[in-house]
Order: sequence, then C-alpha cells, then structure tokens
Amino acid sequence: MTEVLIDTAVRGSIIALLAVGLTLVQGTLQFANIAHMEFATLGGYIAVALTGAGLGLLLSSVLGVVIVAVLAVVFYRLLFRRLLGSGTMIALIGSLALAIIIRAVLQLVFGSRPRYLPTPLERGMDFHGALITPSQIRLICIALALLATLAVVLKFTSLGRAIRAVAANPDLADVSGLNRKRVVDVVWMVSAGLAATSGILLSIDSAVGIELGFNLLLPVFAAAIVGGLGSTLGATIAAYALAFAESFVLQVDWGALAGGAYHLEVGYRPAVGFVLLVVMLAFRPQGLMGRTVRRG
Amino acid sequence: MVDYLLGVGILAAVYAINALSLNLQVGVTGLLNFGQVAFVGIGAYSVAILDSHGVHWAVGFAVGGIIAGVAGALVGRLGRTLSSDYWAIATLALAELVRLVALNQDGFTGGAQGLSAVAGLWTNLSGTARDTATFATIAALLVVTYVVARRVRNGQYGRVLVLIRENPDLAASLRHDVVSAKARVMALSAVMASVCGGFYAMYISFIGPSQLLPFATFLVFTMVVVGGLGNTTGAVVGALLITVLYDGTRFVRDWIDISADQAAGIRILVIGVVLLGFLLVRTQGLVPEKVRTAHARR
Repeated sequence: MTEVLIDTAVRGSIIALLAVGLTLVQGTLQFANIAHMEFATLGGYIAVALTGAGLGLLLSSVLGVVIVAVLAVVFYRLLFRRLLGSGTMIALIGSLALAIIIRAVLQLVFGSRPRYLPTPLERGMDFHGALITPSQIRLICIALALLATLAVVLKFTSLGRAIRAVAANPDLADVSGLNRKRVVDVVWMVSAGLAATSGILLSIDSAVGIELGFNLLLPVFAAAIVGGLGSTLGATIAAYALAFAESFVLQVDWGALAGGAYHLEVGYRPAVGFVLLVVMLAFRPQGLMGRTVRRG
Repeated sequence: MVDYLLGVGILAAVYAINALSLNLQVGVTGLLNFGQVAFVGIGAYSVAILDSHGVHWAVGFAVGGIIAGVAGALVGRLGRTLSSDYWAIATLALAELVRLVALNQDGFTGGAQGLSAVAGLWTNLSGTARDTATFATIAALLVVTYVVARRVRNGQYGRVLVLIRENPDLAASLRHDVVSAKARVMALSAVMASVCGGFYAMYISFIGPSQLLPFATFLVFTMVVVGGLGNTTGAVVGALLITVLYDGTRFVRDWIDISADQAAGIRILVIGVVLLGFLLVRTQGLVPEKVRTAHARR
C-alpha cells in the first residue's frame, strides 16, 4: 500500500503542476490549450540541451523554465491571440496544430529515442516497505511548494485578485481599469513555467521523450475537468485523486472478487483517467469545484 | 506510374469519405470530434475480425456500421450538457480508449501486431485491372457519400445543424431538439467513417493500433480546414490536396540525406504548418462555406 501512496504522490505532483496551469489559462481565456502539455516536453528537452552544453543541472532547469515561459508568451501573442479572434473552436484546433508542430520539431532535432538528464546515481531509501529515491522526495516537495505558493498568490496578492477578476468576468475587469493584456501574459508565463517544471522533474525522475507531454494529455485534462475548469484547488485535488485511482486499480486483485486472481493489464493505466473523465462529464460536467457551466 | 496514380487516387477517395464525415460534424454542426479515428477503427476492425473468422465482408461492413452508428449517437448525446471544448477532449479520450482496447485485447484484435491478410477486393483480378476496379468501387462509394452529405447539408436538417453551430440557444428556443439533432448527425457521420475504415482495411489488407493514433484524426482535420470548414465540396478538395502532399513527402529522403526518424518528423511538420497556416491566414479554407442569409430567400 505504501507503494501506491508513493506512486500517487509522484504522479499526482506531475499531473497537478500541469493541470493547474491548464485550468488557469482556461479560466482567463475560456479556451482549452492542447499544446499546454508540450511545454512540459519542451522544458525537459531544453534542460537536456543545456546540460549537454556543460551547464549544471540546477541552472539548466531554471533556465529551461524561464525559456519555456517566455516562449509561451511569444506563442500567445503571435498565434493564439489571432486564433482566438476567429473563435474558440479555431483556437482549439490551432493549439492541436501547435502541439503537433512542437513534437515534430523536437523529433527532428533530438530524434525519437528518450534522452536522460545527467543525474547522480542515488540510493533508494526504504520507506515503510517501499522504495523512494531522494529525487522523488525532491520532486514531491518542489511540486507541493509551488502549488502552495500559487494558491497564496492567487488568494492574497493584488496580482492574484486581478487574475481572478479577469477569470470571473473579463469585460467587467476591463471596465474596472485592470490591464487585461498584462494579466493574460502573466497567466501564460506562470502556467507554462509550471508545465516546464513538471516536465523537467519528470525527466529527472525517468527520461524525456517526444511523447512525454502527449502521454500526460488525458490525465491532465481529466484532472482539470474533474476539478472544475478554472479552479486551481479543484485541479490539484483531482490530480492526486486520479493518480491514486490509477495506481490503486492496477494493484487490486480484481479476480479475488470472483474467487480467482486477475490483475488489470498495466497497458490500461491511462484508461482510468478516460473513464473518470467520461463519467464526470456525463454526470457532473461542472466538476468538483466548478461553478455552474457557462455557455458562451 | 499508372499504378502509383491509382494508388494515390484510392487513398484520396478513402480520405475524402473520411473528410466528408468529419466535415458534417466539425464544419456543419460545430462538433469538434478529435476522436474521428475511433469510428474508422471500429469499421476496419469489424471487417478484419469477422474476416479472420471466415465471415463475409458485407457482414463486417454491416456490423461495423451498426456499432459505429450506436457509438456515434451515444457520443453525440454525451454533449447534452457539455460545452464544446470539454466534449472535444472527451472524444479524444474515447478514441484513445478504443486504441488501448485494440492494443491490449490480443486474442481478439491481434494486439500490437494488428490483423493482417484481410480479404482484399476484386481478388479475381490482378495488377492494374484490379487497382482500376478497386478505384472505381471507392469512387462510386465516394459519390454516394458526397450526395448524402450534400443533401444533408442543404436540406432543412442541415440548416438546423448550422443554426446549432451558430447559436444553440436560439435553435433550442425554436423548439429544435438540439441533443437529438447532434446525436443523429454523429451517428450518420460515424457510419460513413466506419465504411471508410472497412474499405481501407480491405484495401491494404491490414489494420493495427498504430493506425489509430490521434495523428490520423489530425490529418483529416487538416483536410477539412484546408478545403473549407462547412463546405461539402471543400472537404473533397482538401482531402485530395492533403493526400497528395502527405503521400508525396514519403519521398523526402530521396532529396535530402536524413534519418528515417527525421523524415517522419518532417512529414508531420509539413502537415502541422499547413493546418496552422490556414487557420491563421485563410480560416475559411480554399472553398469557403456559403451561408445563405435570411432575406436571400424568395
């Protein structure tokens, strides 16, 4: 069981960092950015390239996050602002196109084999009968610290108030003299930065491949939607809950219910998120913490 | 050369049927189905699985059509409470679910290997004669699909669908049953896609999970957008152009010296850039949709 909990904490942190950013962008712009997950992949590869150029792991990671955050604002200003002008449907298809382009470019530059960050070999520690590595502990702590910081910023600072105001009612925020453009820029930077952090942490824990972001697409969307789009707290809770469900479903001996032994195949792991997502969409589309669905 | 052209022609016609189906959903009704490949897969696997048990292909087409149609209607109903972007993600999730089942239920679907040696078409002919006969068959199928799609688009039902796209609340307030209209258009499009899938499996005599990747849906989206969202003729034009482009880039390694990996990357990149370029610069596509205004009617 401890194994399930460690697995939940690690995977939940990765998903939560991405889902929170996705939900923030959705909240301020009313559009689901499919390319969001590619920011994680980009972060991982940029860190790989920088460490390859001789920089230290920490410096490369920080630079990776910064570069991705800046790139995201560039994408927003050059592409998404224009696409959103033609409607959210066009923007959604456009974000899919951007995701495909980013993946294709990374494949061209880095090839399709997974790449590793130069991390020192670490000895796993015994934690109540399960194994946990120091880098996994770091991953969980960094993620939780970032999520807590974000929550505090959103709740208590004037910037956070501005972001929530734009999310709640963009027109009213405009009229009250908030600089909406600046708020949206900040939201893109923060969410892309969190995504890149997630990607780099995941690359340190395992490896970075072209499919890193895509493999997270459905769990992240499931977490964001189940949490209620626009709600960062909901997304965080849903991310950890989803991660728990994923590893729990694989651990349980379903055959025991019928008197045999049957474990679900590992290949079905991503299916847990899909099923949760579809059930949620069918019965409670506003999500756990969502306001009632606004139809635009 | 003739064989090559026939091959591209057959592929373009298969994609055109797929694009007509997706256009009914995305272009006409505004239903962003990111899981189109699932319907194609249902058709292809139905024909292939039944064929491997010695059942005639016609039964495979019928079974595939029924399963896809029911699945389409259910997916359409799922949209009753959803805003369009959640629904789009849900369809992507469902398509991935179909792919996971195809990948993991080895005994049934052949797993990662897929099912090969699916019975072909016109097996009594050979060479160019066979290709010509195959092309004639798919071309006839395309004409039928085109006529159906056009009738749907230009009829009373099509006008309701466009209204649902433009203003669902207005459609509902005019007492149109929005959910039922969506479910029906999804069912019809799913049947079209499954027929296209069944034919494809027979033509290349293979179907596997590698063909159910989301990129397959993305390719058809590019066709519909390039042709012109909502325009029936545009879907066919887009399918033809993008098939020629995507198939042509297979030869990229003959011109520049790169690895197979990079060549695959370039092929995907080209399609992505074309789609994004059209969305940014010519959103209405090559053959823009003609929406009749209210007073044009006499």
